[in-house]
Amino acid sequence: MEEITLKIGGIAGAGIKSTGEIFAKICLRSGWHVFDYTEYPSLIRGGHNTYHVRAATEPIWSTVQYIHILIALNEEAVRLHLEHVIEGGVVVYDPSVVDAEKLGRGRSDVRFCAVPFAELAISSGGIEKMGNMVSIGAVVGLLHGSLKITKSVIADIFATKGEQIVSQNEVAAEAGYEYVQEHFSEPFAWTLHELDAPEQMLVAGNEALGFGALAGGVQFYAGYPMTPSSSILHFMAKYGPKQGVVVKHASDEIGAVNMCIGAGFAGARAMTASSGGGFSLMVESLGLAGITETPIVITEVQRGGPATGLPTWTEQADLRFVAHASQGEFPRVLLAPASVEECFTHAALALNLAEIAQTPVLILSDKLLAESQKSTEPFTSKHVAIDRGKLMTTREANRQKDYHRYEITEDGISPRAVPGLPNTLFLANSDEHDTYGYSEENAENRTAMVDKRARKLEQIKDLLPKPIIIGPKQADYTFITWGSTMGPVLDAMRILEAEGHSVQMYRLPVILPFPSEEVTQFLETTTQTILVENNSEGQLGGLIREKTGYELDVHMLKYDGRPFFPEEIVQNFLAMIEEAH
Amino acid sequence: MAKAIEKKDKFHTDKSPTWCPGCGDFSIWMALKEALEKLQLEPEKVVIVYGIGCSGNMANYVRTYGFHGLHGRALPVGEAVKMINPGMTVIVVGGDGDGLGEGIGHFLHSVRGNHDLTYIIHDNQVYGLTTGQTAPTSAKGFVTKSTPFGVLEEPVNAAALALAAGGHFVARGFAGEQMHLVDTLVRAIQHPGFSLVDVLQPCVTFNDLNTYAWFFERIYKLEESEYAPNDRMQAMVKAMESATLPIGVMYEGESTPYHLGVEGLDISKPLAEQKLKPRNISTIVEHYL
Ligand SMILES: Cc1ncc(C[n+]2csc(CCOP(=O)(O)OP(=O)(O)O)c2C)c(N)n1
Ligand code: SF4
Repeated sequence: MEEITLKIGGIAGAGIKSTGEIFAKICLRSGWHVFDYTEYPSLIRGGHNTYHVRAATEPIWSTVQYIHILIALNEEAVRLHLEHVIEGGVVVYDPSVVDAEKLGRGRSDVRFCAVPFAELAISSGGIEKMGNMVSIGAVVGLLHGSLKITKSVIADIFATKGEQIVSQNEVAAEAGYEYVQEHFSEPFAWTLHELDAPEQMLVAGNEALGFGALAGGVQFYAGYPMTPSSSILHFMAKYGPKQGVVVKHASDEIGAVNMCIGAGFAGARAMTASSGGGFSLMVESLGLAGITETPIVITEVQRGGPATGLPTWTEQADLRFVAHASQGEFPRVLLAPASVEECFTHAALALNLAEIAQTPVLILSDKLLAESQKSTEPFTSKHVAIDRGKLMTTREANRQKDYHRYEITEDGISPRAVPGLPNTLFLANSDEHDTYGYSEENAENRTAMVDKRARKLEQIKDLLPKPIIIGPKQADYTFITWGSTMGPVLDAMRILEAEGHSVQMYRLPVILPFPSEEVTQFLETTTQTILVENNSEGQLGGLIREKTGYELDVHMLKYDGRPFFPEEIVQNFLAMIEEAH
Repeated sequence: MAKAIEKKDKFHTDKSPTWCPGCGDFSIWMALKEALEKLQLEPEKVVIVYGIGCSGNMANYVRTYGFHGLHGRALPVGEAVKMINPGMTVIVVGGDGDGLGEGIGHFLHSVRGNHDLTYIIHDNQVYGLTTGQTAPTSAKGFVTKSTPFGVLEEPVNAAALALAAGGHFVARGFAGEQMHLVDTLVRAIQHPGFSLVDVLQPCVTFNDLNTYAWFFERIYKLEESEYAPNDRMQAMVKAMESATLPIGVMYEGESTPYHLGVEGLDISKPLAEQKLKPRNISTIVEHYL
């Protein structure tokens, strides 16, 4: 596998994200696979931001720490990241801002390419800000990449800003490209050659969720901004209304979730999303959806907690909280997508499951998954089917004589009417209720209702993705993961396999209803298990122990706000083996 | 009162109210059913969303589509129902603790948004269902189990708040004036946009200050004076009166309901009745290639 990684570092507001995205797209359109990752502190201006783009000739799933090309927009970028630039790598910088060569003394294995970003931007007819485009052009030049593709990406990104801006940016990129051809002719070890590959899209997890929701027929979306969930709201607000979706920036999370419940009660497919703090506010309403049997989908995009915690960093520490949120008992589904592809399929699936089981469905994502872009086959609605479960049509309603909204059925699911249908008046009641929905506290009714609701999950079991095993069967070691940690584990496995280790991965795409039987059966036959989670308590490990009685052998945990890097997993793994011997 | 309860109407359920005998909730309940009758609405065309409290228990006694939600959270549910199904008449019923305590944020935002619903507050200046603690509307100095030394806060004035937040229909009713309340509710339900009807409601069990007699000494009907409810500032003066208490419509102005401004909403047919097909996302995908 050929691979190129690029990191851009500088202060917030320096256009780091857009520069990174342009490079990622150039790689994508050159036919490469891409995974990118951004780090930024919870500041709008100032603070150190980075964008890391990883491109490879084979599919990749995660970000890495090592750097082939570092674009240093300030001295701090050199100070912080030079140690990760690998032998033969290059630092590209503007000598009028950064004296990278001086800072990098001692790294004779790294090349320092001084490119006067600002000066070239201005001399080519643009403004200083277009220095970023010069840097992109320079990098493409060093990699012998395509200037044509570079220009096509620039043209698309600036299309809305008018022709003049497009051409100024193109010229700036060209100036950077030519500058390196002239000044750094010595061949570089890596080239961004064009691959003959099928077309791909570049999408982040949050957008993928938005795509999945749209494909899956979402009709109502309400949300309140909270990093890192906000971009789902932005996506829905941008693309939803044209597709007939009602999108509401609610006054707060309690309003958002109650609106979704109102919309679900009224017959619309409804969805909301937040991060831990906002989800905390939604918790009482989660139970309301449970007892009123109202379908809604709630996505929780985790960041470091508790309270305000680490707003812009990643963590997987809300698993137990989301799994247990709300007082009382009611059926819920908890999905844990691990990739942009699964964000897409899970969002559409969640809308179906919520309506089929008439109960809340939760999707648990995290900052790494939500904000990292990954290349993937373009999404299509072709394989999406909409199943509204036992939702009544007007014709069915017309036949009703004595409608019981909460009829006790064998499968626990009752025929569902919505306001406006004839003959189907009912009360959706937050209090325990009888089959019509009227408040009822008697003992038999209570037991019957709890049992009825609990039976529902049995009905959707077959629709749920099964635990996933990747790698050779009966491997010596099994990594156990959920959510976004799948990525670094898969990439670590590639390295470990190449070194002759026998490793596999076991992943749970669905946390609830917990697949106890499958997991038990699997654990009965595995050898050494290694739990990999972005939290300090090994929350999935605890859940597995609770549901199966098995204690996983090794806990590999990380909770510093950063995702696992594959290299790190490899190192930990090797250290573990060493210790065992 | 017992006689009237037995009256069978199309909004009647066969559940007997659990309210204390003499509670103001009875007449609000009957006034609401009467108003729905007067407007010739069909139960299938009405959704009532209730909060939690004695007021919310009304959920079991009115035969329409109903949603009995959480304490303080009824309004957002009602707003969404109206957005999704603008053909329905949406009414939200709550208590003063419910809507002006836990739910005061939702209240202000619902007024600001001018969501097309009628919000009826059972304003008994006390928490009934939780056995008589102070409410946000309790008089300063009012002694309750939770405030044995008397309430220190100023009472919340729902009508004045709604006016300040840009409300286009602001009215007050009194449970002891049932026919007047029916007329007020009829006008409120007819109003396009958010309408507040703050109903003064004696809690005969836990509030021995704001009794029927206390209210009768103070209330007067705006409709019986020269008052014209078309001036927000005048309405504010009325809303703030304290020695006497005006009831009736304080303000009604031009109003465009929220759902008419919602981009993407096809109001020709309820969303639930529109056939759902997987959406074509290809034009959006193009931005990501
Ligand atoms: C979140 C939450 N907090 C508290 C309660 C308990 N509770 C139920 S009703 C109520 C107050 C009721 O007072 P009000 O809204 O004035 O209605 P009333 O009973 O007087 O009609 C409270 C505090 C609850 N159900 N939910
Ligand atoms: S406690 Fe007060 S408000 Fe509740 S039913 Fe009794 S009288 Fe009415």
